[in-house]
Amino acid sequence: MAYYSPVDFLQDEEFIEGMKRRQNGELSLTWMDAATERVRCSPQSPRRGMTYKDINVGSYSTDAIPEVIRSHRTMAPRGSALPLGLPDMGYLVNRKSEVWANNILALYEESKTRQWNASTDIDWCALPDCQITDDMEKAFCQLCTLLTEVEMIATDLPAKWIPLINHDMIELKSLLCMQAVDEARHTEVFRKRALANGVGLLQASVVAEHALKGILDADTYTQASVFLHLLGEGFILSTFRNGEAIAPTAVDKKIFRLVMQDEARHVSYGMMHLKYFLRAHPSRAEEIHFMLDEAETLMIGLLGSAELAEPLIILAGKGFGREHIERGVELTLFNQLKAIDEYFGRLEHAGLEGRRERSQFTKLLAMLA
Amino acid sequence: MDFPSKEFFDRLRTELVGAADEFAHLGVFDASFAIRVQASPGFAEERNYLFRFELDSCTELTETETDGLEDRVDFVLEAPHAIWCEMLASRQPNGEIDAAHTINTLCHFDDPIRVRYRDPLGHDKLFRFQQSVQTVFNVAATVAAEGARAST
Repeated sequence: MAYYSPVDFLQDEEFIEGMKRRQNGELSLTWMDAATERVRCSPQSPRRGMTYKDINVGSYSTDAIPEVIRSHRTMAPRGSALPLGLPDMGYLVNRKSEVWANNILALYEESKTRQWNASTDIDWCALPDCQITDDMEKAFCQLCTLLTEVEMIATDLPAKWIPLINHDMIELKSLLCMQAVDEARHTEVFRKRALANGVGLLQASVVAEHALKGILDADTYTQASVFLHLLGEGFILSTFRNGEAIAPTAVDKKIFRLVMQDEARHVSYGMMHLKYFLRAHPSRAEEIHFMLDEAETLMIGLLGSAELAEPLIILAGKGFGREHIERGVELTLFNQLKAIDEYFGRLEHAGLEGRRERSQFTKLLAMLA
Repeated sequence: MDFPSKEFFDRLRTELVGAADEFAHLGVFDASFAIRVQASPGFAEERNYLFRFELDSCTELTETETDGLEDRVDFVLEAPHAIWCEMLASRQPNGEIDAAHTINTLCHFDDPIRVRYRDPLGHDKLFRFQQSVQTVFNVAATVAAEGARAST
């Protein structure tokens, strides 16, 4: 037992007397006089149901979260009456700007409705009828191996931070929970796909693991978010889009269409969080740049690895012949350049200036030119 | 039934409304987008059609002007007339467009479909709602196929 109650209730005569009085029907009803705001919320759209936006009112609203949460460090709900004697739950993230984004409520509602089931929403029974050579199946299974390996980071990272974030940011914590479920499903679907058509998992990746460790060990939540949501998931989103375009079967294309939906929500949150953060702390842009200097290096290691790049080349070129590989290299490079450009575009939209000039990607492209 | 034509898009609007259960299964689809049908041999004049979805329903499907279109929607899908026709003609017996003609396949390499957008958040909606967008084109392919059957 790591935490002990400050009161031994069995030794507390006043508490025991209170229980006895209640057993006899003598109620205090002090909670009925709690000085909280009376509201009557209802759905703006009956078809959407009661959304977080519908209850975003008055003292209960996200506007009521102060930038610095100095006095409230418990799970007592935002807007409730806070009695004396509440413990400190040990939250390490107590500034709204260090986690917040202006699209959290909408993304949370969207993510609930757009859940899908990796067991039943994919037509697994159609896979054996799809014509695919053993070598192409192997290339696809290598891609699935890599994606199975990296996807769960986007479950582990929010799971690491959720208990450290002040409970006043409950909508954000809920969105991160949805992300964790999304990524568990991605791990599931790629693992199932690798095992579904005669090959199985292939080679794990050392450089991928280093990148994952870099994300997990980020110094602050915002640094972790920029690394994961904007850099990591931004590039994985591009990989999913590329995967849909080059996938060998209609079954695989649907997998990529569904995972890209989830991934794009996470990227959207990450972009808007960085925007919120930089508006509140413009002088901390250098901290983000400094983190990205190393994070991009880790990402370059992953993007340039044989475990990721080679199956993409084979799948894009649709074969192992010289012409196929040349075409595959061309298309894969196109995809990577597009992903880099979109990454810069998202950072610029978020307000991080000067990344194109400073980026490790820019240096890499100059070296490869 | 010609593509594009008022008759085609009126019928598509009706079919999209009729596919409410399928859209509802996929979830919230709050987005607006347009398709730009560019001139190509046999099709002289560029046309634009705006789709607006709220919750899971098509609330608007209208022909619109080119000017400022990227500012009025989340993203614009732009391709020559012949490409749109080829995509719509690739419908499979299961009612879906074939694997070589999914909307992402055609636009990912910026050829033959280009995606135009102003705001990265709007662009990302193409991916956040990818399966719903694909469903719109699957339904459109069914309308095209029924139109072709009716005219033979």
